[in-house]
Amino acid sequence: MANEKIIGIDLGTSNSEASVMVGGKPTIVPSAEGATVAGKMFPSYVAFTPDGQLLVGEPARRQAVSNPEGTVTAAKRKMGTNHVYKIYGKEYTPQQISAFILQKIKRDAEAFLGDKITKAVITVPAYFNDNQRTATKDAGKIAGLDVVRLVNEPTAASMAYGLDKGGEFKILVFDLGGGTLDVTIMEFGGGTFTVLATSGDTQLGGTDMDNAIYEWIADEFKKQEGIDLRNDRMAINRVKEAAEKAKIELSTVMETEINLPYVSATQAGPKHLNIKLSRSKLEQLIDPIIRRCINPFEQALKDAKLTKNDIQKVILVGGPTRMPVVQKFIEDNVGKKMERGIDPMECVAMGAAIQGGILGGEISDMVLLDVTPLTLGLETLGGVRTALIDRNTTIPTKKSQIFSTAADMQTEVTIHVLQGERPMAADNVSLGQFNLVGLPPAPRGIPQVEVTFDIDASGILNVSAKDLGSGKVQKMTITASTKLAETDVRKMVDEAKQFEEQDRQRKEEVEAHNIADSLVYTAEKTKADLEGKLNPDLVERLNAAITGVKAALEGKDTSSIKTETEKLRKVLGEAGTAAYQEAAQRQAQQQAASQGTGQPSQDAGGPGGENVVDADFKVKDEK
Amino acid sequence: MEEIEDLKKELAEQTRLAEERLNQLKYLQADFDNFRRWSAKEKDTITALANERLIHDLLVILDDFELALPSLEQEKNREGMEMIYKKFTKILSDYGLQPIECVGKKFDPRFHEVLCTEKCPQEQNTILEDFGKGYQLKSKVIRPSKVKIAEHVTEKVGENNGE
Repeated sequence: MANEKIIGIDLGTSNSEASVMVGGKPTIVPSAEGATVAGKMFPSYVAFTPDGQLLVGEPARRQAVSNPEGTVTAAKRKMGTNHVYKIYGKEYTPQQISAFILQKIKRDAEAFLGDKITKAVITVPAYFNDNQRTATKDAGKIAGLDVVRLVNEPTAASMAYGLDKGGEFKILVFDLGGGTLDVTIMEFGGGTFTVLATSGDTQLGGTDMDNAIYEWIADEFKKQEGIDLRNDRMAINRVKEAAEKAKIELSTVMETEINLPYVSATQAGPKHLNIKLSRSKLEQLIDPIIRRCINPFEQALKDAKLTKNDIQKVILVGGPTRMPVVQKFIEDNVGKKMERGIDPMECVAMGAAIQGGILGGEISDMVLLDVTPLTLGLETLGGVRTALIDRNTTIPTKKSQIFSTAADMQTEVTIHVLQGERPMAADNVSLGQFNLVGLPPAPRGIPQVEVTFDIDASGILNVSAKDLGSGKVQKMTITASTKLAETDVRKMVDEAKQFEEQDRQRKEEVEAHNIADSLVYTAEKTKADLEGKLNPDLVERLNAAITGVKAALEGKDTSSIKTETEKLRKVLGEAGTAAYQEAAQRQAQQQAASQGTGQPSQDAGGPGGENVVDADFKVKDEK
Repeated sequence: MEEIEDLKKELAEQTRLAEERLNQLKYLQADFDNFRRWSAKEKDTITALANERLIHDLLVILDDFELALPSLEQEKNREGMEMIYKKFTKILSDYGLQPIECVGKKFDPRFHEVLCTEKCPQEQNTILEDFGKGYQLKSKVIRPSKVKIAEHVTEKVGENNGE
């Protein structure tokens, strides 16, 4: 393989993660221990057991309590210093420790891709100096990786959001991780990111929030039951897990219940923990932690000699930034400028993978394919928009669908091409229309017209309609199908959401109308086909039902159209059943006749002559 | 003559461009093929992972059951609850869920997580107590056991005796 993949690595203080371009998109490399509820990251722990085993990631973290002298955490903080870790008589530099983490990432990525990995892009904090950067490169070398580039973490996050595509603006990156806060202010222009200022707090993060919730739950329980759960290891474990789960849940719901049955016991019997935690209570609990974010935030702005009004874009990085209270803090301080849509825990690694893709030549004009910004479709019976190509479909693409006529003896069809998200044709943008003429006259629903939408790589839409019966073809070309300003696209998508309910009703009306109309047609046809074979009472009722639907169709009241349609459907069903029953009866009688009188059925005793006549009739019917 | 030279040049350029594009196309095709294979594989992993998440989330119910059962002293209540518990564990074990063996075994960070240690005469790293039962789904640990392990000391210390 000529284009070797370059992986992107987020080598973090508390957690690390890697990403790689797969099929043109950055994809997170799963850790060998498996992704669980905590996500795809793994803890940046390295450990040596007394018996000489090396452990990296989750297993290293699990034994840290019992082997503190053999376990290293946060080696990133020592990068570029002369610090030496002395472990069981051996010495390790911070670079060597980081290399163990990189080696694990390399192994995981190779297992994931089924291919050798030798090149990487590694991210570093914007404030890293030359020594720290060199140390990071060396760590890569030790791990057997050629570090083709180091990228600043905030730059990588910005790239994940596609901010490197052009324009000029100032960005604030707010990176709140498990244990550290980094605030970076950057300027983008002329294709490069320039760091203007950085600030932070190395002892602030999500772990503090989890602890605040845990302490609160324990306090509440003590108030209620007089028992301190902090004395019971098993209870502590359960409460901590429940606290983390509650915190995550409260990012999407307003209130959650922490429910731990049999959490403790007294002589009186078992004690259950059942506490409600609301989002506002949670926010109150972590408020002191949020307040500590203000200083670094203001410091960064001050150092950059900017005010909050100078910031055009804000990027959030790290799990805790998913919390509404953290987002509100940002909004209160810089306004609503947050970029959205990418997992804040994954964006740094993803940005590094994108950088790797660019350096490896994987991302070029050829593979950076465009998508259709809006749905493309055509107008069908009753002014309904029928979609052929959904929005966000990668182009080039081609879709065909077969349509038919709405009226008997219809000899031409109009192809009206539409762009937009609304279900009714009139609410969408018309891109043009043309007629396919000269269809051979036929009853409605019989002709087959194949309509094809074909968008080429540059966004030019070719629409063709072909009558499969006569082979007649008509075409048109639309050049502006994908060239819409982003604001227009957003407006149209928003409108579609806004009018969703109204549109659904209108579509339902038209559909009810179409169904009723086509059922009347079927009923009349059936009546004609079965003429003389149905009993007069049924014919009478069929006629009444048909008249009923026709009257309702003139009245335009959807619910009465539906009721009348349902009535007609029932009667029509009866007519069909009757026709089949009669046929089946005849067939049964015919069988009985051919098998003779030995048959112990009721019919067997009937006069043979009649049976013969019926059987004869049946044969005629089959012709 | 000059025109021919120009055309030749133009042709060479176009040929080179065509080759380059064809090459890119081949890579793209290969990438797509690989992606398709990869995506099929991923579908399997996702299905497995979806089950894993569900089973992981159900483990707390299993914990609740195990805590509740010993406190149900009235025989008739206990029997019914035990039947439900058995049925529940049967379903989970049919999906490949197994509890991780723990107390008395030697600590192994692939299966267990240490919450604390205790000085005692027992062999170093022996698991003394289980604070949170661990489980594995087929061969994958979905929740490690949360344990207390032994920090070996000779019996003379005596202080911790009886604890």
